[in-house]
Amino acid sequence: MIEGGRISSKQLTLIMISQVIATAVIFLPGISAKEARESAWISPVVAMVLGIVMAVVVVTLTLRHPGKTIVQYAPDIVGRIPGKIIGLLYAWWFLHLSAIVIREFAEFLITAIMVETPIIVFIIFIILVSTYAVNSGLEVVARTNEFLMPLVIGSVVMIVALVTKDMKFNNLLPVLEKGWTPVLRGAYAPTSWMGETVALVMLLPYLNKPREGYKAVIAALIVVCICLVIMAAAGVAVFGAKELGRMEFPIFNLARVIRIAAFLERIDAVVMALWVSGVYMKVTVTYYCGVIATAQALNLRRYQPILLPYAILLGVLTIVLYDNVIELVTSLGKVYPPYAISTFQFGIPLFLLVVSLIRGKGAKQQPDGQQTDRQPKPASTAQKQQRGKFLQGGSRRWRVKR
Amino acid sequence: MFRTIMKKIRKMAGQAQTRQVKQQQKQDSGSPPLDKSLQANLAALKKTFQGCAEVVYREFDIGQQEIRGSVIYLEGAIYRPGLHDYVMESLMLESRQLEPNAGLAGEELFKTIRDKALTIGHVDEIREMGKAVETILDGEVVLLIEGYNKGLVLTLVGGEYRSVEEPPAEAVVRGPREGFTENLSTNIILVRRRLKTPDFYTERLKVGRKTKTAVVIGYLKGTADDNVVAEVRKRIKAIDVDGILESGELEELIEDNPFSPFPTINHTERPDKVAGLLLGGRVAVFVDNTPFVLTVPHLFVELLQAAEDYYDRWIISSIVRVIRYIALNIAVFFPSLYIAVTTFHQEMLPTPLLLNIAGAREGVPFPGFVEALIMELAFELLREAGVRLPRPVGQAVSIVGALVIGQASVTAGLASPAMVIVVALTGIASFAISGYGAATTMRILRFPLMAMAASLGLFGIMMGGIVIVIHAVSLRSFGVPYLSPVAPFTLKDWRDVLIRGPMWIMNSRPRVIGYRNPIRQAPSQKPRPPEPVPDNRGTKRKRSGGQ
Repeated sequence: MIEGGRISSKQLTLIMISQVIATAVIFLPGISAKEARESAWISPVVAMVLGIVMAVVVVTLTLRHPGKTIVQYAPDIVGRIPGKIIGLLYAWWFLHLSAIVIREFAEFLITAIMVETPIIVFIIFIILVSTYAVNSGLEVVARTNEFLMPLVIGSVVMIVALVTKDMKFNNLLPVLEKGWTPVLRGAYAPTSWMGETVALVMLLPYLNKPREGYKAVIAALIVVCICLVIMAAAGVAVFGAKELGRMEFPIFNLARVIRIAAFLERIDAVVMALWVSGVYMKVTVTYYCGVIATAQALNLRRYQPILLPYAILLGVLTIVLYDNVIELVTSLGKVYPPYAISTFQFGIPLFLLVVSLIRGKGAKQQPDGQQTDRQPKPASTAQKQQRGKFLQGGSRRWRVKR
Repeated sequence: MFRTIMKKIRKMAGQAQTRQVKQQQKQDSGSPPLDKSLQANLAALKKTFQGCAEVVYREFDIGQQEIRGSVIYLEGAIYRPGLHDYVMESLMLESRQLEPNAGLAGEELFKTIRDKALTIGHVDEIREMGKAVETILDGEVVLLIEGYNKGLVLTLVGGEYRSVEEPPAEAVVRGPREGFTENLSTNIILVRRRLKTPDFYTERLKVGRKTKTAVVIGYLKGTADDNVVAEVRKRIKAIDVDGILESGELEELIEDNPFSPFPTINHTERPDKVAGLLLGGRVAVFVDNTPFVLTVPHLFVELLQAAEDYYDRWIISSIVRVIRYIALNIAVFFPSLYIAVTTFHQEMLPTPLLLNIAGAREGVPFPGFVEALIMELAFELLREAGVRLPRPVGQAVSIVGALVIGQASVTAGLASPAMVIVVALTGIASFAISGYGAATTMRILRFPLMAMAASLGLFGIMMGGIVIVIHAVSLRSFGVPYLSPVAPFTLKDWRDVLIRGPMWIMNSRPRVIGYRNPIRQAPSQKPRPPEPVPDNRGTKRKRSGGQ
């Protein structure tokens, strides 16, 4: 078995929150405000509804195949070769996603805080620390997230609470000036972020009570939505929609506005430090999903051996992905959403679900996710002999189960 | 190639060692039975103890029949008046009245001696030479009688021990002032006095081939997790070393993660603390000859829970505990924050403060990191020297320390005054954590953090902090996640983490450890003022208390 740990639905909720919120809050208010103007705060609500639809598809699909990740059950649904291809595509997707997230954050750091430090330093550090967590397994990732998540949500609350005195609520008017179209357009990018709950296809099998998956992910999306609405509203109220739409990192500008009692001022660095933990968690979870997906697609028995090559690949990809921050922001707003939603977040899961419903593949909802196919197939005698030989070679630790 | 050869060599060496150990064990276990002849037994004992000058062999005649007998004991290890009054006097003088007709013999005579002549509490029979040697070394008295291939062990343990005193490292303002001593049975009784229930189980084990240290596992049956008890027993039984002199050595051999800077086993000198932990479902390990008792499973939050928290009123304790959490963060993060702010994020400081710090740092030739490193090292040196030095010299060190760290380093331009404050605050804060070892852990963690802060600022501190969190989160203490109830999160157990909840809401034991027996006390015991009852005249009057 590739991962022995189990997580609780509470932990899954927190993972999903960090999965969406970490990058969303940094960029989203600006992107939404560009389209939806004063109504930027409505966009996340629309996005949440769409996000819940996507998440329900993903959870339903995964629950039909208890104890299996998408890499394992895709072959059951669409046949061996296409299924394998889908598995490998997901492995690539998680790699790509973690690279994008790391790049986003590294760009944020060198633009806003440490201008003179080369970007590769941040990339290397984030990947190193993530590798450490991923190496320790899913339980450790989930618990680390449990420890760090309150810091992130706390910092959202803190920023908003401290800028209340600078808010001009007139800025929020008029509501829905040009109807729903701009709002829907502003919800476009948020939806792709909400869709990042697709990490469920890798994580749900490790939930101790898989049926609680629905509840966990919907609760997570609601919390995220509340945070985003508050941030967007605060951003518009403080800066006005026009100015907010031009900002690359609105949360950071909000933190800069804070000035209280001639002591609490320019705490943007503190905010940044807290966000490090949020983004770090997101990177770690996607990284973990990617490593597991790769290991399962390649039929490995442990994922630890591929960690190092994976980390190097990730580092390189992060650097070659974009040339500068403008490219990054444009791609996040324009290219990324259609790419993500149409394929990995919604397209493929929906396709698989439909096929699996039509072909009647997969178990009907089983009570509390009995683990049917956990055991690896019995190895053929030839394989066994080979493995035996390998073990006699003296390296016993290969047999040690996690 | 080279590696395979080395592996083979190592394997062979290992086999040789196990063979040796097995042989030794064989010799230990195969001990000959006692002889019928007293002289033969004494000769054998004398041969065994030929290098031990403290062993006393006192021969005398028992009763009217004047049967030859002998007591063997260690000088200084026994309660001598007891031996004189209740063993020798009984056997030599008073036993003459026991057998007016001198016809007793054999088994009956032995029984008479054991049941009618020896007026002491604890008496055991032994039949093996090895057992006799062992009990003598344990500080008990062995009585051998001519004509019997068995002997009697008379428990008259005595000798000099430190008396029960207030533990200096864990003193309290309010609370019992007793501390454990070096005497195992005293320690267990100190706990048993607080837990007057037969459910308090104790199991005795021996550890150490040469020291034969007595180790007692104590737990509340039905409250402690049986799996944890079994695991503790298994780990202690697996120990095969020649000596255990202090519980710290045992701790190192049974802990979960030997490479972690965090302690995953708790130790304390306070019997009330041990009793409290046992009530919470922990398992205690008493080790002979040390006042430090180990308790497992140990959680990180215990480092910030002082025994006194539970004796003060809960609001006060809660505030104090919050302060302790702040102290923990200061101890770990403060110097690195100072470095990060002065090196990278100067804009975070209000301008007047920034000017002050910059002005004070003007004459300092080092970058912030080097300055902090020098001062922190100086502090650690002074602390270490203060612990090691003989007490009369200690004062000199503290004066030198105050001058060097405080005054001279600033005047000489080696450090800025702000840095002195940072170092002093960090040092003081670290001692707010209960447990000297844990405090040192926290102070050591800040050095890598300082390096991270000096190279990457706040981002570096966060990264270092996250690494510490990942490590702490991956630890387990006897199966219990080290950072619970924080991660994994259990809301119910937070009653006793950041605050110390009032007694009347702690109705259940912590879920992670005490789940075997979750109910601790009767519900709804919150005290409330007596309800006013109408009296005859219709006016309301408060009911007096003790009806």
